Amino acid sequence: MKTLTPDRLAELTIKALERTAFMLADPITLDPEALAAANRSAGVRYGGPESGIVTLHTNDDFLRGLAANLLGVEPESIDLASYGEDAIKELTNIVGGSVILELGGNECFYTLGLPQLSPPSEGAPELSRTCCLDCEGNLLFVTWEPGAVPTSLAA
Amino acid sequence: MSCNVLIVDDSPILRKAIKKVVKLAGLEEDRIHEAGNGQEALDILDMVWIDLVLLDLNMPVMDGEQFAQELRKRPDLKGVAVVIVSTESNKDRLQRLRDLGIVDSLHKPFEPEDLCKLISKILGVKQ
Repeated sequence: MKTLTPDRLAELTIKALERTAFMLADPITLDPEALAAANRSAGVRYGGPESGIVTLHTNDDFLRGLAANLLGVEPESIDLASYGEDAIKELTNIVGGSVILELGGNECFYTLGLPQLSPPSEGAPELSRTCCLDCEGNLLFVTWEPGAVPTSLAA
Repeated sequence: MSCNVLIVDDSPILRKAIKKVVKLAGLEEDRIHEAGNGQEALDILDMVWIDLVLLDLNMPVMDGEQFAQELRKRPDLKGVAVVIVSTESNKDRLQRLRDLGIVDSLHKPFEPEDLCKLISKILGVKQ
């Protein structure tokens, strides 16, 4: 089984942010307390030779900034309930797509499900599989969990 | 450019982001149409002539592959060019889509310039 290090997960996420939303991010040391404080999350499952889930955790300010960059408007004008949640789902989808491409390479036989908000968590994210990014002053955590997928996320 | 483009993606925010890029490629706003899934796209194709469809794959209601299959059954829509804009990288699925007549694909995340070039290439040839 090919594995993804948190460093590689961070690289994939940084590329997704730059290309999709013109946002700059840097990997930083993971602070478990900050991760526990993240109040927004979305996940996407994948299947194929192996299954797993990619989950993003963040806060309202990051969502507002992400949506604003995607739309080319000021963050203050963003309605979090519509565009903010849509934005994190789409970023999750793109990061998930990058993960399966990384796992499968050019002969990729993985498929991606639909991203969902706040997937039910089976406990705290595995820290050794989580990266933390400072994205223009806001924290974004990305977790890659290979293996069993909660049935609630099954496509 | 006097062509019509249809953006098919279940994410409203991504449709708007792609729309910005399509405008950068030289299309006027009133020639850019949006649909949230394959069925909505077919409904629009029944009403408006579309030159290029930018198609996401993983969508509820009717996904991109089902849309491409339906499109192939319609001889009146044979001239519609379809480009996949998706996170999809499954080799089998992409081959099935090529067999259905998809002209090109762009993997998310993409550089806006790459989409601009692709649109210009396809619509430039059609004009």
